[in-house]
Amino acid sequence: MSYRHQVRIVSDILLAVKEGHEDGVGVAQLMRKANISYTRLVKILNELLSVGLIEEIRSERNKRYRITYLGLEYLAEYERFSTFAKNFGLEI
Amino acid sequence: MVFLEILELAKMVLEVIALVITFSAFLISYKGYSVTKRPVFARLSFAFIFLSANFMLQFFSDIFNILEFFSLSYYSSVISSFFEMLGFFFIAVSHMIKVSQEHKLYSLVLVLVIINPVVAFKTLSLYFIFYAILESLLSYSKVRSKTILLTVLGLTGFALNTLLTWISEFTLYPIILNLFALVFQTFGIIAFFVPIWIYYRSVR
Repeated sequence: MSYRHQVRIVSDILLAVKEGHEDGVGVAQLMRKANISYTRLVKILNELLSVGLIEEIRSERNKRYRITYLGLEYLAEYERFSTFAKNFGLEI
Repeated sequence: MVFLEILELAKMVLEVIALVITFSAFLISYKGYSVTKRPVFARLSFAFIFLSANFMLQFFSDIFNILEFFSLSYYSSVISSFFEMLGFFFIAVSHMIKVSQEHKLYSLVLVLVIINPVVAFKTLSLYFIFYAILESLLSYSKVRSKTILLTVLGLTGFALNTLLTWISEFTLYPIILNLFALVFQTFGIIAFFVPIWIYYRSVR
């Protein structure tokens, strides 16, 4: 099993949030999709919220998260760099 | 005589094109490092800035040669070979680190022919390029991406260019070898342009 670094984990979380579209995604769903523990996920979500890559939607029962325009830009940039490295036979 | 001049001119044009391409690759890698902070982009930045410096110095070496400043031409050539070696060293190291992370490392055999500094640096460059080719081929066998295959062919072009330049150091009439070296270098440059073109196309 290969080691998953922080940048990869962040991009996995952002991808999972993106899949939630306008309705957003809940924490339980994110934990499953991004394959990450609750404590670590909450810490990263707070960081992503503080830099504006995602936004919080407060519903009656729980918190949900939605990707922002900045988040989409970051994800696209990450994909471009990942492809660039892969084209030289390397991995980010 | 005219053929020789055309050959020299074509070589210089190619060096300028290669300089632009490798410098573009450096800019992308550096931006990649700024955004992701991943060491692979730091290594690629070093690789491409050294390769850019190599092509720039090769160009200056040819200019000095035309102007008959032979000692300046020789020293530019030595330094450019050193930068070429460093460039391919960083590409090879990126592959070595990837391989060591996957817990497999190949035993490496190195035969150094030290006759003059240019030959020594070219020998090391060859060794690094061949290693990068081997690893890129293994990556291709896993993901089957056509662009990786093109990078492999590009690296092979650079390897053959370096090999022929290396052999030409021992021959009395290296014109034909230089012509073929130029053809392989052209191929290498075109192949290296593709990942850069893909990146800029996706930005737009």
